[in-house]
Amino acid sequence: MAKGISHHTDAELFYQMKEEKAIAEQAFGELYARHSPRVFAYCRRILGDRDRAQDAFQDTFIKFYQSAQQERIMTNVPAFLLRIARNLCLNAQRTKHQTVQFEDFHASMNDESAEKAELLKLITTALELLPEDYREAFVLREYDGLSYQEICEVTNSSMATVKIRLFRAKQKIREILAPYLADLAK
Amino acid sequence: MNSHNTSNLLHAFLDGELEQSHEQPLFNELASNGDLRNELRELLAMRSAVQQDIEAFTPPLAATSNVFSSLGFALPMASTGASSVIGGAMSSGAVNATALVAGASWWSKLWLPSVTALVGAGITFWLLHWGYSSNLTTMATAHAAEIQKIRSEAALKLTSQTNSFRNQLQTASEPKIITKIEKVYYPKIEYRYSDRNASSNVPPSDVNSNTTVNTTIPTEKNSLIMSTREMLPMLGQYSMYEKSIYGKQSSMYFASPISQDNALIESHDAMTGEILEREFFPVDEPYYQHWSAKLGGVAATLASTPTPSLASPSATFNDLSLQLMYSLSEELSVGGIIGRESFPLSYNGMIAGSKIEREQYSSVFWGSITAQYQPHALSFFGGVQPYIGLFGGGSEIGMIYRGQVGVQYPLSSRFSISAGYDISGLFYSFQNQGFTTVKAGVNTGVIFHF
Repeated sequence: MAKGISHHTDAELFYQMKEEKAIAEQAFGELYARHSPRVFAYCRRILGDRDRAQDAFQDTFIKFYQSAQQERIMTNVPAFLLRIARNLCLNAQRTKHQTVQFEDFHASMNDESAEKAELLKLITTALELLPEDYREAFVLREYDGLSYQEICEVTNSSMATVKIRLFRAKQKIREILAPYLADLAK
Repeated sequence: MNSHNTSNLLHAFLDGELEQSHEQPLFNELASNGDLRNELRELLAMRSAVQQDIEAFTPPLAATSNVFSSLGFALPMASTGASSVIGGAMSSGAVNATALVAGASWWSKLWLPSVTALVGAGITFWLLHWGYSSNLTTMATAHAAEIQKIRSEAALKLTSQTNSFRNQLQTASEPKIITKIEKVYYPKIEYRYSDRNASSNVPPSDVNSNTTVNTTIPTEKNSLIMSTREMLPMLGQYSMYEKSIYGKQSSMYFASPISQDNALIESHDAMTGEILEREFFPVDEPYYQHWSAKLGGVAATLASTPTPSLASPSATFNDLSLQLMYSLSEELSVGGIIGRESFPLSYNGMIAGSKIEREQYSSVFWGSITAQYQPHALSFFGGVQPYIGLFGGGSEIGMIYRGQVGVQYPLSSRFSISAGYDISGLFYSFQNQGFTTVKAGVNTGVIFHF
């Protein structure tokens, strides 16, 4: 019995995007559902501006599909997607000054949510204050869940550099949020 | 171990990158070092907060739609494999909250409401038509004897009065133009004459000036008749004014009431008393079927479930609609409408093992087919016309139904304005769960008839 689409690996789905339209559409939809949150999170938190993040996000998946039409060996789809997103975000940053917007932020309404929402607002604000390479390392690790090795691949950096950036990013955020975190940690 | 090293170990441990051989020293340090434990708490609080960043992990629906349409793909259905991973796992507990709302194609959202609305409109039209014809036939049969009696009495009276009228014409010693105003109130008939100078060739001012009047001899051909036909006041809304050359088109009308709303109308030749025509009132007169376009808008949202706690979206052309209607009869119209409107959304689901609730205030495009019924019997204040409208269709995120009750007022033959009360329901899904937004408000519109 043929296995369902959700049981295919990322790589299998990537190669299916070269096949006939119905299969390609299904494979793309599955990969989109799997990875669109982390790609959008990357664009959103790296660029800050929601509209520019949306543009970069859309272009990422369109380029992703186009790249699947070429001969290519695929081993790590999320890292590949984030590399495309990264290039597009770098281009976007070059063309426009970064702006900080929290226009439509609205957090969950669970227990403790107000406190966490407040902290989240502070973290996203602190992220805007970080150097770009620190922010990128933090987003790739905390938002996209990449391992140190995967971050190295996406950013073309050494392991030592990644570790330092990540450590310093967290420490910087801690410093910025020190008064608040101290209360929260009590 | 210095504090920098222990911090490094702690970060690596939390990131799942610490070698096993370094774990025990870290644990020992944690047990004895309060600052390190404090740092651990802060890092965990930070990570927990990031995992609640739903907004960052939720691509806008418009972005998803743009991606798929750019590639020529339909949005994946929630029930298929593709979006069964909408709530799928991500590594290291990152949140997956893609708001891919169910529905692959417009057709899949529209077919059910479209068919429902068409069948509903068909049944309504058939019932109205059948009910009207059936009612008249039944009443005519039930009152046949009464009608016959009235008709006989009216015919006698008519014969008498036409004879008298004819005698006056034939015995007139002077040329005259006869202006006749005929008013028909059951069972009364009035005639009024006015003599004019025989030498005048000028017709009465309210007679068609193109009519050439020979006033020399008062024959049937050169006598002018104006008649005004007014039906029983209780029948309302029906009157007719006609001008004609006497003897060619002249007629008199009798209205025999059958009930409060119906009457038998008979027209007689004024000279001979011959019955020219019989019909029931209200007369099934040919109705000028026409198109109309309505530009409408939501004037105010009075209540909604969920209640919006966010600011209304500031989209261009928001809360506006364009409606195109075709009138099948004076009372029933069908058509379609497209628009963009704000709806507060509230939905929940499971993300990374914990329940989340999320609110949006979205501006969504919507379209539907619609039927509107405007009973003339309820018209009041010289033309204010109540109406009821039903809508069924789809939106960017799910099916939409709507009902309106309001009034229209004609400013001219081409333009009307409308205002009414509106209740709408929007149905959408998230992670295969259905959610509903119900909204009530006031709408207004300007209608152009063509």
